[in-house]
Amino acid sequence: MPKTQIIEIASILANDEVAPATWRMVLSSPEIAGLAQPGQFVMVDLGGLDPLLRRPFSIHRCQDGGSLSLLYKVVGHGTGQMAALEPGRTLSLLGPLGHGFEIKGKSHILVGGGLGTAPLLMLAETMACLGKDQNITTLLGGRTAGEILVSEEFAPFGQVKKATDDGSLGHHGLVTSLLNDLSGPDQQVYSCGPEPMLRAVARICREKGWPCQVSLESHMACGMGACLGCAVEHASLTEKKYAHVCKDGPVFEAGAIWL
Amino acid sequence: MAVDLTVNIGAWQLANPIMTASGTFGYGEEFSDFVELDKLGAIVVKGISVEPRSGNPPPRVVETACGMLNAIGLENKGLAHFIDQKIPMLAQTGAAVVANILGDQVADYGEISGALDEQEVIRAIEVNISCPNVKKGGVAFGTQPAMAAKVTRAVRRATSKPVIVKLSPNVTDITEIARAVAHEGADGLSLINTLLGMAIDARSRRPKLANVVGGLSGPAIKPVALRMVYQVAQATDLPIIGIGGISTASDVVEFLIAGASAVQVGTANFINPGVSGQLVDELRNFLEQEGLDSVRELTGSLIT
Repeated sequence: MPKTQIIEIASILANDEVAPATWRMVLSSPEIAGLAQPGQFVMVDLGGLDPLLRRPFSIHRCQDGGSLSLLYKVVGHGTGQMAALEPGRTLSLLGPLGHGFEIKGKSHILVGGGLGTAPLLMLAETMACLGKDQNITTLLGGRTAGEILVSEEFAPFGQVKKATDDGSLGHHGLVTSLLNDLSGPDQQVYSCGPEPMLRAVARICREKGWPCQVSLESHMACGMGACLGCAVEHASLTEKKYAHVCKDGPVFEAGAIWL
Repeated sequence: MAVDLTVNIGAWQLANPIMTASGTFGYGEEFSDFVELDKLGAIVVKGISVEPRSGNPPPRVVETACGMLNAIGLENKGLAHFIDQKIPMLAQTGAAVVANILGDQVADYGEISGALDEQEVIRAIEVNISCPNVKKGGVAFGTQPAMAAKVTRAVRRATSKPVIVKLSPNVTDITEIARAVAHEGADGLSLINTLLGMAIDARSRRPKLANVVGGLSGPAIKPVALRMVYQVAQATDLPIIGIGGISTASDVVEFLIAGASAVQVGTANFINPGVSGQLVDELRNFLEQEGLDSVRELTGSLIT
């Protein structure tokens, strides 16, 4: 049977700060990039004892020639170490992992909050490759302008709308109000961002009758279904049941997780 | 002459001393892209209970200095699912499989061992009396010598397979438990299970695990594990399977020198899913470099 997940020693091609404390790392990872689907992730090993475990990062973009990009925020010393890595250095990637987005229909609304924008770029690029009849609207939100990430890169695919909590860029308010203002039949919604935002997106979609896929995050040790650390409660009125973000997700039908 | 990597646990001969620890290797199939399962001494599957268990609420894992805490809560799909779905798959792999079993009451242990007794692919039973993450059963059986003995007796009566009892480090004197289960006919001991630990978020003042406490594993616990293997080796004649922070051939050899006959690799599987297979080769290289004929020469060879 062909391998579906591999460990690849990937060389860093570029590693730049694209927004305050937010970096984009481009790696040469032809094998994983060749297998990856939008919404999947990789586990990154920095090779030391601290951090000890690999860390999950959603795949931001895969490009011709076998490059794979990660969009990440420096929040701890692991991501701090990543930001300090110069091109030419190598990292061990395990991937591609997880169940990604399923592209359905032709009218797509992508809703990203902050760093949740990361996997949506690969999703938009993959949709655009399906043909000229794909209608892609991207809604990006953040607390402030610096959290609206790589918005110009979504422009070639269709309309891009922005919202910030402080009004420093785009609509003054939540990205979910931009979603609420949209209408039309047969829309498919794909979303990644903080959980409160995802829950609000799911609720709006339920009201509008639009199918909605959400990408969740979780602490996890292995990323491949062995440690069972990344449990998320499944929507059920009758019994307590957990799904696992690494294998069943990270992308779920919103209705399977939240009632 | 090729070096001899075989080791024995009771009447069971393993091709080599490298095993994978329960709960860190799924049912093996998850790792088949990275390891030839039949290359390992044995794989120990995720703990099996009579009925399915949903496990603890999240968050269930958190990294700490040179280690990790987990409070999975023994999530598994139960005995019937294991027999119907996993045993046929495991039989295909050619791997030597150890079934790790657990229960809320003594009778559960007997029931599972009895049900697995006729399954050829299961080479041995590992009795989990030491999980720190569940309220009843689990560690309660592992911290009282009389209870540990009772569980071992129930398993011994229900199975003809080698019985390995997995010991908790969360006790005052681990040798007391070791002697109690040895007396009831255990064929081997595996140690250590995770050390009970805790992590707190300073800003929110909340525990980092929903279960508040969890089991510590990884390189952080290796010195404790080595010490306990050494102590138990002094106290009993049973073969010991050393567990705790193993990720290199040197780690493996250190446990053997302390008194272990075999080892289990745990947390390291999460970082490098191919590590267990690599350790078989690295151990062989080590023996060749040292001019040893058999890995068994290392067991208990500590020079003091």
